[in-house]
Amino acid sequence: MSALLDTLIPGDADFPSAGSLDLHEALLAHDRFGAPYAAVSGLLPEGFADLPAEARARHVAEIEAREPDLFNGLIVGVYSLYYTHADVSAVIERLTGHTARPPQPDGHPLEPFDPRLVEIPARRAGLYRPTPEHDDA
Amino acid sequence: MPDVVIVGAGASGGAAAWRLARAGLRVTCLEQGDWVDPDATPSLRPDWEIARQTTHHPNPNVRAAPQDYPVDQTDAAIKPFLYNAVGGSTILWGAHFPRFRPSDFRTRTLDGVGDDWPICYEDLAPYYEENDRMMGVSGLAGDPGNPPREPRQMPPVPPGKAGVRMAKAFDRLGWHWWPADVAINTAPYGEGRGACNNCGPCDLGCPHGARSATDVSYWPQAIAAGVELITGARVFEVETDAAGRATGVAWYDRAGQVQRTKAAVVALASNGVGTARLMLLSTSKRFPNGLANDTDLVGRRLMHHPTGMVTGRFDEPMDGWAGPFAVSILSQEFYETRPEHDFSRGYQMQLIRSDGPVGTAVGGYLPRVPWGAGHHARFRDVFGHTASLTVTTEDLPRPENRVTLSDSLTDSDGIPAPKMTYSLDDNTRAMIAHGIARATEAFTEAGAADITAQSLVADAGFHLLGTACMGADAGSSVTNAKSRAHAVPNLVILDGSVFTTAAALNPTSTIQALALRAADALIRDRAELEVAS
Ligand SMILES: Cc1cc2nc3c(=O)[nH]c(=O)nc-3n(C[C@H](O)[C@H](O)[C@H](O)COP(=O)(O)OP(=O)(O)OC[C@H]3O[C@@H](n4cnc5c(N)ncnc54)[C@H](O)[C@@H]3O)c2cc1C
Ligand code: SF4
Repeated sequence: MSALLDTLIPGDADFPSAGSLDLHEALLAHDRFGAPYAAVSGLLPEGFADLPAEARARHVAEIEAREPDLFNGLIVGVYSLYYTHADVSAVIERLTGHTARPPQPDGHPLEPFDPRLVEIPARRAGLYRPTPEHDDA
Repeated sequence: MPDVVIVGAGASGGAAAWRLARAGLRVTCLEQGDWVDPDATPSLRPDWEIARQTTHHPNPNVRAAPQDYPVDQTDAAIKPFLYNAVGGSTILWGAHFPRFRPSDFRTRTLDGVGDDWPICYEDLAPYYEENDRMMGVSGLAGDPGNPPREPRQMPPVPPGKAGVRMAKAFDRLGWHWWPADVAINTAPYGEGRGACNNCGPCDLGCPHGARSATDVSYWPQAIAAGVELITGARVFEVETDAAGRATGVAWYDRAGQVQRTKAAVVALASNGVGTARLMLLSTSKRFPNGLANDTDLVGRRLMHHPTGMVTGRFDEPMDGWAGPFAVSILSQEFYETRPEHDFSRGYQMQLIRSDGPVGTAVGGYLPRVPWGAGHHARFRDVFGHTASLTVTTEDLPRPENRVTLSDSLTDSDGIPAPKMTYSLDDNTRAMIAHGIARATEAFTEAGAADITAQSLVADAGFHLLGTACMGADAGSSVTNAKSRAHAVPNLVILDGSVFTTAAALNPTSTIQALALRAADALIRDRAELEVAS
C-alpha cells in the first residue's frame, strides 16, 4: 500500500515520502479517512506496486477523474495524517521556522500595534455616504 | 412560567437573555447544543488541523455531531457554516466585528435596490457601543470610512508582515484601509478573559478566552442575572392559541421526551436558517404555511455575503500561520455605489492570514497542493508565503433564494431539516469580478510574486440573513422595527433573519445590537404587550 501513498506524496531531499511513514494502518483505522482510503486502494489494478512511477500516476489520475468525491476524501485523509506526522512537522520547522508543536499553549509573540501605520489613511476625509439621517460624513 | 423563552444560546440569544434578565424579567433559554470546554480545544494537540477537517468543520453536514441538524445543500451555491452549542456559531467564528455603514440601512432610497430598513444607523449606534463593551473590541477609533465611535476597549491586533505590506500598498494606491475592529482581547478584558497569544486558529476555540464568544462574554453574566439556560433542548414547534398568539414552545430533551415551556413571549435566536426552519415547522389553523407567514416571506430573501478570494504569494516568508487567522486590516474603498461601476452597492476587502501545513496542502485560500511529483516543491513555495484578500460583497435580497423544509433529510429527533436554495445574480457576479481585479491590483502593488483568484468561495456560508425580514409595512415584511412579528405580537426574532438587507460585511455586531434593541423595546412595552391569556 505504500505504493499508493508514495505516488501521492513522493519524498525528496528534505521530506520523507508518505509511504515511508506509518500512515497505512493509521489511515485504515481512522473513523473518517479509513473508508475513502480503503475504497481507492480497492480500485487500483493488480500489480500496481510494481509499475513504474509514471504508470502509477496515470492510474491514480484516472481514479481521480472517475471518482472525484471519493478521491477528495482520500486526499484530505492522506494530507491530514502526513502533515501532522512528527517527522514531517520536524522538517517543516527546520525549513520554515513553523514550530513543530501545537499552536497552544505557547502561541507566538503578539507585537504591539504601531500607530504610525495609520498616519496616511487617518488623514483622509469622511468616506462614507451621507444618508437623510446621517449627513456629517 | 418565564416571561420570555428564547430558542438558541448563540450570539443573539446570549445578548438578549442578559439584557432581559438584568431588567428583572424571568428568562429561560433552550439550546440544543452543549457547553464547549475551552480547555479541550484541539489547538493544544499535535493533530489540531485534523479537527478542522472533521470534528470542528464549520459545515454541520461534514461535522455531523449529535447536536447538529443537517442542512440540505443540494441546491445551494454557497454551503452552510454554523455551530450548535452555548455560544452558537461564535464558537467557530473569526471575530471580525465591523459595523454597518449608515447607507446600508437605505439602499432603496440611495440606490434604488433592495429595501430600506425601518430603522437607521443612529437607532443602533448606542447598542453597538454597549455590545462592544460586553464583547470587548480591539481596534482603533478614527476610521474615516465610518461614523465616529467611542475609543475601542483595546488596541488593534497587530496586522502581521503581510498586513503591513498590504497597508502600504493601499496607501500608494490611495485606497481606504483601516485596522479591523475585532472581538479579540489584545489585553486582558472581561471576566477571567486573558490576552491573545497570536496562536492562529481562532476557529478551534481560544483557551485564554481572548477571542470573544458569547459563552465567555454574555453567558456568564446572563446566568448571574438569573437566566435559566437548558442545554440539550431541541425545539420543534412554537405553539400558538386560536388567535395566533404564541403560548410557548415544544421541545425534545436529551432522552427524546417531549417537553413544553410556556411563556408570555417567545423569542427566536436560532440563526437565519434555524429560525426560518422553526417558523415553517410551526403550522396551525391560523398559520397553515408556518408561523407569522401570512406574506409567504418566511424563509425567503436568504442572503449570504458571496465571497471571491484573491491570494498573493510573496517570495519572502510572511509567517501568516501566526496571528488570529481571519483578522488584520480591511479596505472599504469600493464599498459604496459608484456611477462608473456596472453594479449597485459594493464590497469590502478583508485581509486573511495563511494556514497551517494541512490547511495549506488541502487548500482553501489557494487550490489544493497537487499530489505527485511536484508536491513538495509547490508546498515549499506557498507555505507561510501567502496572504489573501476576500471580496465580501453585498447580496441583494431575492425571494427565490430561500430556506424551506427538506423532504429528504431529518435530524436525529426526526425533525425535518432545513433546505437552502441559493444562487447568485448578475449584480453579485459583476461585483466579485470587479473586486478580484482590484484585489489583484493591490497584491501587484505589494510585490506579490504570483496571484491566484477564486471567483466564488462555496465554503463561505457563515452569514445567514434575511429570512424573516424587518420592514415598516406588514404586507411586505415579517417583523416590525422592534423585531416583533407583525402577525404575532408576542413573537420576537433576535437573529440575522430580520435583516432587511445584508450590507457587505460581517454581520454579528449588527445582529447583537439589534437583539439588544429588541430586548429593550420588550422591556419598555411589556405592560401593553398582547400575550396569550
Ligand atoms: C466559521 C465561522 C466564522 C465566522 N466568522 C465571523 C466573523 O468573523 N464575524 C462575524 O460577524 N460573523 C462571523 N461568523 C458568523 C457568526 O458566527 C454568526 O453571525 C452569529 O453567530 C449568528 O448569531 P445567531 O445568534 O443568529 O446564531 P448562532 O450564533 O448560530 O446561534 C444559534 C443557536 O441556536 C441553536 N438552535 C438552532 N435551532 C435550534 C432549535 N430548534 N432548538 C434549540 N436550539 C436551536 C443552535 O444550536 C445555536 O447554538 C462566522 C461563523 C462561522 C461558522
Ligand atoms: S489567535 Fe489569539 S484569540 Fe485566536 S485562538 Fe489564538 S490566542 Fe485566542
